[in-house]
Amino acid sequence: MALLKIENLSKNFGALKAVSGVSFEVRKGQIFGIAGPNGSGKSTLFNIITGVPFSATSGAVWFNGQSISGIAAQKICHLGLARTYQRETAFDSLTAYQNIALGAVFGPGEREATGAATLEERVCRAAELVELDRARLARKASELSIFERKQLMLASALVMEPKAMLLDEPASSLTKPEIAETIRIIRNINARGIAIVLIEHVLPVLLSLSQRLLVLNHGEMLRLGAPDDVVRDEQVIAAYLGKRGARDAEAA
Amino acid sequence: MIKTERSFEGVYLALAIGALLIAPFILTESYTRHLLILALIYAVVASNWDLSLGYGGLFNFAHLAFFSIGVYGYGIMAKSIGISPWLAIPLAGLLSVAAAMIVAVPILRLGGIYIILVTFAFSQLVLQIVVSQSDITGGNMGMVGLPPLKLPGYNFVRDGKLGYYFGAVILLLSSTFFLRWLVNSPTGLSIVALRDNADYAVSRGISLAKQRVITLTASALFTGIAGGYYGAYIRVASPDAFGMGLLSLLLSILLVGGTSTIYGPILAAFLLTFISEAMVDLGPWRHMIVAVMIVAVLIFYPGGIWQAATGFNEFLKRRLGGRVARKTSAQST
Ligand SMILES: Nc1ncnc2c1ncn2[C@@H]1O[C@H](COP(=O)(O)OP(=O)(O)OP(=O)(O)O)[C@@H](O)[C@H]1O
Ligand SMILES: [Mg+2]
Repeated sequence: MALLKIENLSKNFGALKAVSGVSFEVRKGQIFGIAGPNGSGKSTLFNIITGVPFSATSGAVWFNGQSISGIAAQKICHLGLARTYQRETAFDSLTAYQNIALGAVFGPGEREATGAATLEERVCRAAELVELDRARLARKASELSIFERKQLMLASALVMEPKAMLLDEPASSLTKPEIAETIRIIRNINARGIAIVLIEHVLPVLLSLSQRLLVLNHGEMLRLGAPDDVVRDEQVIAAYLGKRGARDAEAA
Repeated sequence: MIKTERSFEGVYLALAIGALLIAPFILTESYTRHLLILALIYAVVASNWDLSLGYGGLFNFAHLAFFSIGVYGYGIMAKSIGISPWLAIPLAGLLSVAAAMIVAVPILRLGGIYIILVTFAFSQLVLQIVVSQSDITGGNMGMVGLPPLKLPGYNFVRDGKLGYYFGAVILLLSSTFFLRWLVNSPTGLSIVALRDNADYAVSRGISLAKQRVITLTASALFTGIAGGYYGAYIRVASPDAFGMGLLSLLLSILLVGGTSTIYGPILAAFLLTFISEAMVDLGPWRHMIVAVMIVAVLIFYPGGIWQAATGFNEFLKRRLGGRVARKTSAQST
């Protein structure tokens, strides 16, 4: 059974069809990649799945066997669907610790948090899993580096004990070693049975992690399939990768 | 660790409480005591406003109405109905909480300017109701001769209003402990989170509507109680309690004190009440001088005087920390 099921989802901004007739399924524990040129509707897709800051124009989203189309955004989160944002987002006037603690307290909603762990244990465990230095937790979120803010955003999603995470470009604007670390972190998160939907422009990240790959173009599905097949697709090469990109993809 | 760092908070708090306990025995003149009592009440009202306006980032202009509802609620309950003043004061707080729930509904999901419009309209509505229902509220004349506070054998106005003074101190302390507890709790953090980034907060499971109701009702509780206490002290409920004069005084207390600090507005309440009173002979010049002072503070210390005070605290910490560091390094060599 699919954990996350998207059915014919569309979003219009006036005349612009930002997302148009997108359908796919993500299974429990799977890593599902999404690629596509700038402005092809990837982030908009995450927005309308989670209902923040707007919901879909038409179509349906099912999560864990339940329709989540049109329900309150915080309720979607309580059901176990967590997301991160393309830009490093945080509650800037709060400390890193407080940022994560908020996810721990409010994220699960009525769901019982697992085990008898205290709040502090849960926060520290999440920080550890995303390899965020414990000494940095007392800092204001605004004082952290870009990479640390990305780790913080992951930790505050992870601490909600989600069943699936939607990650919007977790590797953008990072250095090579940081990208390698990000790949490791995502693998570790996935190893806990959490399904991951991954938007990424950094191809090696996408190709080394994804079990399925969807390419969007002008809001429409260009190709969906096994990553190896998708990157060899002529349409994908023409619309997104380009000749050089295709060679890089082969190499990766 | 969920709490924000609170260096020396206990020490300063003890000093402040000590000062509040000694003050009336140094400042024995009846009029000075009166100003102190007013400052204590304004401190409660302004620091609770800080919860919605500062921490919550909600431009809530119904805050003064919460206070006035407390004043009139006390008048109606204690005088017209004849409820014991001691009961009427907390009930006045609950009345304001009810009013806050009503004003929260239309602004559950609104932003910025719309919140100003709705809350301002709400206070005008309450004022119109008060003025028009003269059978109950005394209309433009207001209500006079409200019951004072008494304990068996002791009237609070005796000994130069000493009873009222200490009552107001207890009120301010309870309100401040409540506010500090709240802003350091997960609920308080979620209120700040919604101000920092509402979309992100919602995607971390925080309900905008629910937390907004909590913010407004929590900020109304002690504001209404302070209104009730003010009614019992001044013994008059008049439409002036809705006026621009009081509104601008409270707003300047909040801004000069520094928002999102709780302590800043409390400090500023004393400062501004006395400064404004000291210049009472200057007539209209007073308002201009106060206005210039406010602008000056906001230019040089946009975070208010509390920012200046924490700057001093940091300086102290560095000095003390430096000395300790020097000592240890001296020992190790
Ligand atoms: N709130 C909005 N209002 C109007 N148009 C929008 C809005 N959000 C996105 N769009 C438009 O929808 C299209 C898809 O944008 P989206 O951000 O989803 O692209 P993307 O695939 O995430 O791109 P990138 O790779 O650059 O992040 C773009 O043309 C964008 O301008
Ligand atoms: Mg995007």
